Amino acid sequence: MDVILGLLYVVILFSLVAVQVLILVFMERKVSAWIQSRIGPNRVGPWGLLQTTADIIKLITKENIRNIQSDKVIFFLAPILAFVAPFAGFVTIPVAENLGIQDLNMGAVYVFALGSSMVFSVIWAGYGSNNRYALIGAMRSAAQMISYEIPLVTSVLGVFLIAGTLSMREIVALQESGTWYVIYQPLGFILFLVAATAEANRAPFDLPEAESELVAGFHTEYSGMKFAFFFLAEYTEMLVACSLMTVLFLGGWLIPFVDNSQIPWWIHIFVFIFKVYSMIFLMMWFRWTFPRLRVDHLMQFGWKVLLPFALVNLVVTGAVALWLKS
Amino acid sequence: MAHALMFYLFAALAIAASLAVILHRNIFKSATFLAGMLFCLAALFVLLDAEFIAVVQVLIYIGAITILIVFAIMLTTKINDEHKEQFNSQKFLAPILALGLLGLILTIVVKIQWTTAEISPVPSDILGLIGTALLSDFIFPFDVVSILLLVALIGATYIAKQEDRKPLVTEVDETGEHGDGKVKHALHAEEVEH
Repeated sequence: MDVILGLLYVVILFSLVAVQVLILVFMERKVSAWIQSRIGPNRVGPWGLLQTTADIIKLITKENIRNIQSDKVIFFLAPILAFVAPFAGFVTIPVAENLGIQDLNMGAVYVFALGSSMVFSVIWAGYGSNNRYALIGAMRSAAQMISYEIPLVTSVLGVFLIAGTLSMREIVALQESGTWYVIYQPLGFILFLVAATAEANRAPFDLPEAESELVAGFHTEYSGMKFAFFFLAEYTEMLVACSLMTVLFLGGWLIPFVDNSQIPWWIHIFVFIFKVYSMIFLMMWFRWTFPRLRVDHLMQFGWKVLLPFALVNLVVTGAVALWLKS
Repeated sequence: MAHALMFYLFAALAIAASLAVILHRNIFKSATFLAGMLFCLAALFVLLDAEFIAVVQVLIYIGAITILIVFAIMLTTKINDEHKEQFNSQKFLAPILALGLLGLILTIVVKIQWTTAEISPVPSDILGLIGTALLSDFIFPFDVVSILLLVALIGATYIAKQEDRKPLVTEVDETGEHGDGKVKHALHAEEVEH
């Protein structure tokens, strides 16, 4: 019985995520067009709404090409892991008060653990492709993901320190009686936003892809459905990162200055989605505003700027918490 | 029933993966199998209701240590040679010793009378307990480990910097190749690791 229920959850979650990704790709195109004073897709369907659907159909029906010298198994496994790891993170994210698959008592750490195993998919893709550009892209990406994981985790430690719990649902509930944690942890929030953008390999941190120098980075050799999975993975990762930000810093499904117990649950869902999409809009805004960083600048920024600030944030939060307690 | 089935499934997978780590000729794939083995162990921890340890297992062992091993493999030239001799001169002695040890452990397992406790072995607030224990009873070992890691970090940085101070040979020799190729490669490896 549990197994059937679990499979049902997976199917529902997968269709939800797939639809979200369709919307996000369309949104990204329209946002980029708007920022660059273009019109964007406008031919397929009304206002170009069916453009991404057409693209997905193209990707699914395309021939799957595999380099004969590539490693069959590893080449095949890489896109699967790339998608499954962030996708599994949705299990613990609460969308509304009683809506969410499972509330683990270390929910946030679970999501970070999945994020850290993401690195393997990139390395597999680079190694399996047997392509120089893919390998360089994979090594860069892995180095970047390892480096930015540390400030990513350190920046949210302040929130856990204040909340005293790692359960996502309890963290949101605590923000109901007090204020959103973004007020207490503005620095932590900014650091988390930057590090999450880098973890998702998005511009200005998109060196692993860097089409101008590395063709397409670690997914150079991928085509058709396998490429679509990498595409899906990037947007899924963005969704998870923005959901985490919403839960940890922006009060989850809560509306400020209102008695939330009076509000029906479906409005809570819309509030949650609105917050997530606002954060995603911010990430897209980054992408079309900042130029790409150079490799050494990227590493220096991670280790010499983000990490010290995250550590200072943690120490100050701890000291203030101790002072308030005594 | 399903619980036991899952246990045997993951236990068998873990054993198969650890054998593959040793026996596979491609060292990159060995590292991949190692990650798979550690993942199976995490699954076993979940079956034992120790979710926190499972999550930390994935975060530290798969996300950090195995990735570092993979980095070391990919940055070292010629280690990925599949025609290399895989075993050294102790390939006959080692299995005998290992089998002896296995026999010893098996006799212990069989001879001891295992009693099962009535209460659940893992309390619900495991995180709080671990945190309190680490910062009260075990504060000394905790600090010693932290200092050890700090020393290792400083040492690694010092060695990497020493390589930096060496004068690099930058002249191009007659064949038109850069003489410093190897030095640069080694430097790069150091940089990435830290």
